Amino acid sequence: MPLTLTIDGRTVTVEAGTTVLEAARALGIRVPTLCHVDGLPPSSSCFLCAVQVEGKPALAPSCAMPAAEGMVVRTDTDEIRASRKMALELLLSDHAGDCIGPCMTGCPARFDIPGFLTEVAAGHDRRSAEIAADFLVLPAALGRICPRLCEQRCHRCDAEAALSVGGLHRYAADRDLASGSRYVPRPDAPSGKRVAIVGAGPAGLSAAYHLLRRGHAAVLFDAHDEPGGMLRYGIPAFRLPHEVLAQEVGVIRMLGGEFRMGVRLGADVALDALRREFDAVFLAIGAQTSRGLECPGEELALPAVAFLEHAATGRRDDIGDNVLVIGGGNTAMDASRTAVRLGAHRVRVLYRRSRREMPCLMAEVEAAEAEGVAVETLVAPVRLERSPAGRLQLTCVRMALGAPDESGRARPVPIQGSAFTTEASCVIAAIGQTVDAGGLRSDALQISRRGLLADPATLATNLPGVFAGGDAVSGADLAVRAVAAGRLAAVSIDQYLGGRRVQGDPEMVSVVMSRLDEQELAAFFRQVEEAPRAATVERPVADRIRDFGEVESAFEPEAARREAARCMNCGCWKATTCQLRQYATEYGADPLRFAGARRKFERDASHPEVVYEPGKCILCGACVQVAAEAGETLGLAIVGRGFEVAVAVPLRGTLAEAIPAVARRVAEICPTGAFALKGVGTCAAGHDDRPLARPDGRQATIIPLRLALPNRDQVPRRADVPSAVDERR
Amino acid sequence: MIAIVRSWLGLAAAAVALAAAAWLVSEYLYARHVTPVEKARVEDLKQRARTDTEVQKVLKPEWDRQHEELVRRRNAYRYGGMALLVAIGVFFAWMRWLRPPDGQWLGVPPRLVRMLAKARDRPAPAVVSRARAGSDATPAPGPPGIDLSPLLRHHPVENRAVEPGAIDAILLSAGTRRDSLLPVLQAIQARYRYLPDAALRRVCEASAITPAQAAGVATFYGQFRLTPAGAHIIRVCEGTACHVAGAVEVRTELRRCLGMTDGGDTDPTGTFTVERVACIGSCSLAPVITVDDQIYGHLTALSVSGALRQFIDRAVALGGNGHRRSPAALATLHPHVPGRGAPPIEIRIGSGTCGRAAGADAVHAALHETVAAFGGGALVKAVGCSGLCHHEPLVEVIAGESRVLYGNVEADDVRALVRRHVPPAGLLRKVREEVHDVSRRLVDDRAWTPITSRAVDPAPYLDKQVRIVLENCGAVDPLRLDEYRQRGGMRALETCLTRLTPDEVIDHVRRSGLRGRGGAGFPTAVKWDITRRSADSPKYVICNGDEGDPGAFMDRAVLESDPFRVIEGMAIAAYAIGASEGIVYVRSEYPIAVRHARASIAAAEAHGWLGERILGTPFSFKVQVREGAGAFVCGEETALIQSIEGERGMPRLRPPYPAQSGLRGKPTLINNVETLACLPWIFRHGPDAFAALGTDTSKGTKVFSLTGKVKRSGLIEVPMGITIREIVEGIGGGVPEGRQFKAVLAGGPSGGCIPAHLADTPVDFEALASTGAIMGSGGLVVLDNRDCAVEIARYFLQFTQNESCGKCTYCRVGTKRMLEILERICAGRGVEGDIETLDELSARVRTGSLCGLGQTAPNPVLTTLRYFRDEYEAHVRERRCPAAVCKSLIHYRVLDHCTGCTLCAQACPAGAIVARPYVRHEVADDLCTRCGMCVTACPENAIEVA
Repeated sequence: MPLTLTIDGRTVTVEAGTTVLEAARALGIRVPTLCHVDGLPPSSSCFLCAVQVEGKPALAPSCAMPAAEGMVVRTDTDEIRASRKMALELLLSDHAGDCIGPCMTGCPARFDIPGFLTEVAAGHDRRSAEIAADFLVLPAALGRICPRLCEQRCHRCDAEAALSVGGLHRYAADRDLASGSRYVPRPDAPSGKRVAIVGAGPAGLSAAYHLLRRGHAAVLFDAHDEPGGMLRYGIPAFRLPHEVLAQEVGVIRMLGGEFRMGVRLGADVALDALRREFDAVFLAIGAQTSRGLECPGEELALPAVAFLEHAATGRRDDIGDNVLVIGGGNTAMDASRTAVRLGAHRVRVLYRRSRREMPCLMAEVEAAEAEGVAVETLVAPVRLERSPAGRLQLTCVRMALGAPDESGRARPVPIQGSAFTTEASCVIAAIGQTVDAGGLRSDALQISRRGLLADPATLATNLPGVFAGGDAVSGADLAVRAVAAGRLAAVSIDQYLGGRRVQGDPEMVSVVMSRLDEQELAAFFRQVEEAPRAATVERPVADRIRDFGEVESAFEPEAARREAARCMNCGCWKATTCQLRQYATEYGADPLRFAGARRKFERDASHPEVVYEPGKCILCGACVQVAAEAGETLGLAIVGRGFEVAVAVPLRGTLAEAIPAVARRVAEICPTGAFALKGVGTCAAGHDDRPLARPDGRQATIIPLRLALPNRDQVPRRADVPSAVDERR
Repeated sequence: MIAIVRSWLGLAAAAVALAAAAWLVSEYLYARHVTPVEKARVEDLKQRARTDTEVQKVLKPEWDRQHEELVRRRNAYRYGGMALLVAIGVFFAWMRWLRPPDGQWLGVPPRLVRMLAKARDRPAPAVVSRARAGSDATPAPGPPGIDLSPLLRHHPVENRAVEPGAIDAILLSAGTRRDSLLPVLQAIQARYRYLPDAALRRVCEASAITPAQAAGVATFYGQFRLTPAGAHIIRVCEGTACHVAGAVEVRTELRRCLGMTDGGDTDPTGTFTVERVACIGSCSLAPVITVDDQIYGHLTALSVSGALRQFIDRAVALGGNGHRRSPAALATLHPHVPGRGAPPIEIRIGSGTCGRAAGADAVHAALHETVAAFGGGALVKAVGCSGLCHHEPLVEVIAGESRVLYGNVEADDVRALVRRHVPPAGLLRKVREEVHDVSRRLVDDRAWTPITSRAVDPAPYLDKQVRIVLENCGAVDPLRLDEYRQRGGMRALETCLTRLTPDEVIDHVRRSGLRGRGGAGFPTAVKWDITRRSADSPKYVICNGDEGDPGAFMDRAVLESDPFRVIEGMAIAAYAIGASEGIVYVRSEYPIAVRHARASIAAAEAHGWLGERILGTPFSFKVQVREGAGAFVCGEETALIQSIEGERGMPRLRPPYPAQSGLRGKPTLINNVETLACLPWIFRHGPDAFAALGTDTSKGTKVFSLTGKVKRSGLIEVPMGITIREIVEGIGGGVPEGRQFKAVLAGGPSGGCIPAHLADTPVDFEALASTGAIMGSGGLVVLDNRDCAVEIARYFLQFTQNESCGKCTYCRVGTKRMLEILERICAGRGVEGDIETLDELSARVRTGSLCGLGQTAPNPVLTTLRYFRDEYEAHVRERRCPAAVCKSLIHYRVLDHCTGCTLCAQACPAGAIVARPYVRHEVADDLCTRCGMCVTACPENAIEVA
């Protein structure tokens, strides 16, 4: 007997016994569902297919609700969307697994690390170099200087030590650059559009790379003589040799990028002129002004940025024999190590907090100390004077650590009466950098206290066609974040130039497992062999402090392959097919909104065909039904009650006994990665030359849990794991 | 007056005894000290004087002098000794009877008085110092653990191996179909105390039951355990009434004194297993535990070890089987022999669960024995629950027109009680009893307290009640069909079957206005009508006795006290809808109700009230009993059906409603026990009489279990429309002295709280719903100002989260997140935004769940947020629990009027009390676990919780 009902204002006639879901589908209305499998009786557990039936106070699961004559149904109201979103957030809050490797979620550029490592391990040098270049643009440079947030999140940290991700992409890129047939991507057909990029630093170069690939012309303007920005002028050559950077910039030239060097924004060219001449403008002017000491006599100190730039261009400052560097970031370390190489015999670094709070890499501090630099902590400058004899006299006060401030670090408090004075031939201020937006003041561009103002999702500024990113927006930050920002800008500019809606590069929602407990670690490492991290060679100290030659050497091919093979491919086998992840992305669900107790991570790989991870199960019960219908002797069962409900093999049997016949079908119908076929699909997100990313450094949906911890001491620290969190380069 | 007389008589007796003792002592002293030396010398002189007159003459004065000296000394000893003893006697008398009330007396320094008072009442105070105190530290005190060795000697713990034959035998009797699974598992658990894997495997081999079904069901129901259990199972009730009365502390102390330090639930010797049970329906005796089949009520953390010792002693004394002679066995041992010509005297003893928990079995046995000893002049009858649960055990004596009710009766009172009402038969017995009385009075002080002091006037409790459902409860022997019939039983069924058509029956019900008493209040006649008009057949009637709501026990009481009434109601319903098969689904936590339901069905069948062609009409109806297995959600219709079918009790979407497609896919009528129990009255008195009671939309009466912080708790039946205040203050007598009435929790975990300022809300489905609470099945738990609204919400949410079947995302994960937030708030770790998140989650869980459990789970949170938001804010913003309940936010402090008796320190299991005798004690906050044992132990109320 046919009956007629109204769904979202449209009427449909269906046979009795039809569900509302089927009726909606007949109308072409898409109703999301996770737990429903066609052909199986409705499970009605996920509540994603909830619809509003007029006259009913509660929402109804459309997969189970029989259509009735005259029924009026709404499938997509705000209320329903909010309910679906929260249902997804609740499911995600109890999801024990990483969608993609935690290294990837840790990397601001969303570098497909597992995919890259797979290629390295397989010995595919060219392929691995392509992946590295497409994600990182400057993989050889970043491989040397990146603080490697990825490595901090590597699950290998819980066993021996993190994968040497940075070392490996340096290795891959170095080999490619040296190969003679280096990788240059093939650009799309020319679009005829021209983009001006102000600033040829990592953000500008990255934007240029991706714009050129999309067929747009890119012209880079920079005040310096050479491209590279802070990579060229702020990082000493013993960490990043100039020729490596020049080679990587060469790729952009080969793609057709045009460099107009020695052009200063505001002085030599105006933003308005650029806007007239070009179809779009990307402002990546960086943060290049050193902050002062903020004490009387600060003008007597040498700004670290200027000092390093002079060193990079071969101009020698007269620093004398006794150098004081104020600050605790990587710039301070670079300045002190440069001073050593310039012949200073006594170099001291003063930092107002303790070692634990230093924002630079611990490895950098250790390297500096090895080279003879003395690091004094809990000291802050209060006055800088020049003595009658012409020496600089710095008055300092000793500090004690107080309550944590808003950055989570302990706030230093001066100790009364602890002032002392010390002499130096030169004082270098490495307190931090600010954005010099002087050249843009006269334009209508909005500027914040921190720098330029841009929408974090798209990097668009208030001026149409003008985008801004990198340190210029965020303040001095990591180079890899600048690279990510450059790509986001390219994506947004491409959308703008193509006349599409500018929406940036929305990212798939990913679940990141928080810290694993003992039991979970045991489950995680059950099938993993122990393997130590490959070491690199450093030049001996006595040798290296004499010149600006590179300190650390690259991997040998054999070591690199062995190291890459340590990767455990922590991502989910169904990362790209998981319906939970797709819906979570569609509805903008935040996996951390309801963070609380969750099931334990557990992995059962005993079955020859499938892997079962119960922590990813959403309790739809489809596998239980499939196993029962197929007449499996043991089958699967829903066990327990309340929050503890799970799908398990009954009567303490094994998975192989439970579903000998229907394992493949079970893996196919499982809407998440709970049941996955072994060896099918990919752990990594897969290599895509236009990867999904949100490279503004502000991760909207993924908050890396280990970084969110208030006290950095709680993060596992190993000698080989970079510890920098907010290092300034 | 009696006390004064008693004390003077006692004093006189003591004086006589003292005088005698004084005389004896002085004689002894004289004999001891004077005789050996002096007497010998005098005798020697006497001898010489007798033989020698010269000497006589000379020595006469000396002899006289010596004699006088002797008498003087002897008197000095006598009077001195007597004075000393009298002084001691007076001192003791002073301490025993003449102590000034406030310790101030005749200028004696108060400190000395306190010291003496302590010496009088207490064992010498132990010097208790804290572990932290330094070198003189002693290990943490606290009452010692329980010695289980006597019990182990008598009952060695043994675990049987699984024999396939035994499992097959179970399958043979319980059935091998899928829907037999629950009875099968229950039988296996009864045999092995848990479900051994091997047994489950055997079940799956030898029946239609699949491993998936067995594993799913075994892990779903709270009754089943998959790990071996101890020889004796202790169940700690966690119902609402028990919770507010301190069940958590009882459980903690129980585990402590059984030495259960790790996470397990069985003590190291394997003797006792401590389980938690949602509610055993003895809310008036809260907090309650059961040990095997024994119930112990009104426990505190201090008394729980005593209860356990009592159990052990009893088990040891009974030499093995641990069971007393049952009252039923006694009844056959001492059959009732009516006295010649005497008016029939009936002695009723309330033997429901509550009565037994309070000790009714011992009273019952004593009654039988005593009446037999008196020549059997009265009929002793075990009846169900009369509702005055706070007075259990209750004995009612009915002799002609006179009815006397005795409350809190103990076995020792029984003689006096029987003596008052039942004349001994025959001269010999009369003389014997008279002599017995006199002699008892001489040796037993209690015998001087007349039994009339136990008499209870039920009027204030009963006056506002109207008893329809409970009309027979406490009056009839629940298992005697003839008694039920004498009171009009089965007449309604007879009327329906012989004079009314099914449609007329439904019409009667419609006119009565009866609405479902299970909670939602759906009109009963409409439900019947839909089921009747469903074309499919056969049809089923299910009596829903799965009263899972913690804090409610009306269904239990009705099934225990008047089961025939429910059977009759079911038969009427079955006739009306055209069903021929019925199922009574009762919680297994109610063993007496299960037993009575089964027995009454058998009796009704035997007398032709069930079975084929009832009363010669074409109507046939058979009923069977199915036991639940500890799952709250099975009170929901579709889950209940799943449960009967042997599956996990997971609800499904309605529609289709059970009335269209229920048990085995057939039309099924599910009515609550109380709904069915209304029917006989409606058909005997007419629907209009029923409709005359109540309000416009809610007709008739409603049974409530009134518990919590109220003076007179128990089972009540009131006409709809009565206000909450009339119930709490009128019937219940208000909250205990010194406290303020705060709120009433109505409807259990699905309901909410009705604050004191809305106490004038009438009992009416719609009016109660407007407060945010629901009528629910009828649990009313009264809260006072020492109950924390947030903590109560947390308690209920923990309950629902635990009981969620885990199907719907919102119910499974959403309630967990809500619970986590509430736990955080109670622990003083709440953050800004938590309250708003709770609000939002509540709204979504409500609309995003399939069944009533999830849809109503947020109600306790929503209502407490609505009425006590300030308490939430105090927890979050000020880290303060206004009711001084949440342990992380409170502190214990000893007040100045502490007498320094050290009792608190002796009771403290954490060693957190610094106690020097006679000096005000101190609580070490960092060691204190906030268990409250010190507060219970303190005789002076000198420990403040804030």
